[in-house]
Amino acid sequence: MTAFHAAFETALNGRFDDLWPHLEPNDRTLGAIAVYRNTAVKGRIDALEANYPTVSQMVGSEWFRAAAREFVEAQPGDDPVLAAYGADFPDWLARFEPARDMPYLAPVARLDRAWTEAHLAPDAAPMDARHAAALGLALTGMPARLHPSVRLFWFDWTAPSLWLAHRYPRADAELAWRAEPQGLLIQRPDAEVRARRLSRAEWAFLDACRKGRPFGAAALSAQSAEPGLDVPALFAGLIAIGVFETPALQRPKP
Amino acid sequence: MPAAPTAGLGLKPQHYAEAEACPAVGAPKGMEDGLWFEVHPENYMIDGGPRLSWLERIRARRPLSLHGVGLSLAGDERPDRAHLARFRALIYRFEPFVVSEHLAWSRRGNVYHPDLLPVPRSREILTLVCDHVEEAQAYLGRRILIENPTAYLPMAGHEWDEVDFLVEIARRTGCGLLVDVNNVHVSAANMGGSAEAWLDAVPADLVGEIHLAGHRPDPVWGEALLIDSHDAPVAEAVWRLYERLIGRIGGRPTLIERDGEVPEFAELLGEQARAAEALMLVEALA
Repeated sequence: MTAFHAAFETALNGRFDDLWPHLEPNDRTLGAIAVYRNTAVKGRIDALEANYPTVSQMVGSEWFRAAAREFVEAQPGDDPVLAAYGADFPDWLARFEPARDMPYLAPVARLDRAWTEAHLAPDAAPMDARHAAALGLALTGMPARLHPSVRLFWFDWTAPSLWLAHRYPRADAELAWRAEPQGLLIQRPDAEVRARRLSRAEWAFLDACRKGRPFGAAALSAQSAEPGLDVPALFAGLIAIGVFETPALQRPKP
Repeated sequence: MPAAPTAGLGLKPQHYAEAEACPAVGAPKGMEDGLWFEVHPENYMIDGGPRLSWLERIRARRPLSLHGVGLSLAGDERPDRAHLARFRALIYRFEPFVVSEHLAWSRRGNVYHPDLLPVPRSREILTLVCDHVEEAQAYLGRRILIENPTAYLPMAGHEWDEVDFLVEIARRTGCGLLVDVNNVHVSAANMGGSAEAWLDAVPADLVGEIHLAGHRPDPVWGEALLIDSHDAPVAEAVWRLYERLIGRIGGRPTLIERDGEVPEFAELLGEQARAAEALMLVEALA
């Protein structure tokens, strides 16, 4: 540890007294210190805004960056990998007083975060219909494995449709914020992050899978969420969009 | 096999497709052959996904350089092992033709500062930096280049000129130097030195790469305080300094850096072509 580094870090936090003896001050010294302070703060705010684009879009960049300034001071971060910066921003936003009249903001931030996690998640080959068919009945007893990019949500309010309307805009998008249970799946089966709403039965099925239960038990969960459901059709639909990882040991020979 | 790297570009995600398709766009005939790309490894220290697969595809066609911003070699703590491990994994995967870092620090305790922070060129700092460069080179399993910083702050406690300090680090650790000509220009403007004298003094055999970037005046202080902003084309004064440097030491892989206000890929290729032409001219005169 050196006195210089300690003094410089204190100056970055806005107290310059300790740094002064290490300098040969001129009329631009405060301006020069400001260059370093601004660069570090701007770097963090830029990273946060890049990682929470829907939140920024909803509140406007100016509001976002003012709020972000408070967040980055509270949680400056410890990792040079800025693509993953700001994991705690959704929780922080939920407690942020000026956002109190925007109850949708923290849930939307959670979905932005999930998008980032899916984007950066490990690559893996999804289980396709051929693999599933080859496994046949044995599948029902096998613990399900979700693809590592899969993120699942169930909200009591319309955060999923609100987020989708901004992140994946469509003509029929719905912007209402109201009490209505909605599920959402965010995943990256290949190169692109995708998102889509989940039915209650799909949610029940995937939630059981997430808990590592066998496919057979997941099917029963889906059935009880929606009696009379065509479970094989639901399962085939989920396989088709690539939410499962190929069971490693039983992978059929090419 | 790609040609030997001549002039390169900092690779931005919005240009992935064009970078992969190159030389189909932009560059004058014959200029694109030595094109290479540089990235910050910190942007690729992730588990998977499209960023890494893009880089893999582009690397299959072009030489790549890894230019670190997070090792904090001039910090007062040893380089972070976990960070070095991630860096090494990228080196094994992408086989860069050059690996570089900065004479700067960015980490202290549990805080990472996304900036390149300065140090006084003192005996104490020299020892720290040399220990850290040696540790990084041993861990990464190869020689690295160290880039000269941008100076904004007049500091007490300098015991070396900047070139002498960098040469001393190189002599003690075996590392090479990455000369950022824009940093030399901006530092000389801010601190009142001579950029020409700096560039004339740097030993040719230590220089492994050259950076060119744009700068702009501070919004408050104007021309009295230049900022190494990387958000503008390379200034004419910097081009002249560059030509002076390679005229003396010969050609080196040269990078055009643009990190803010990133223009169309074709516009960056225009600057890349200008550097490639300058390198060809130097080659022809040698």
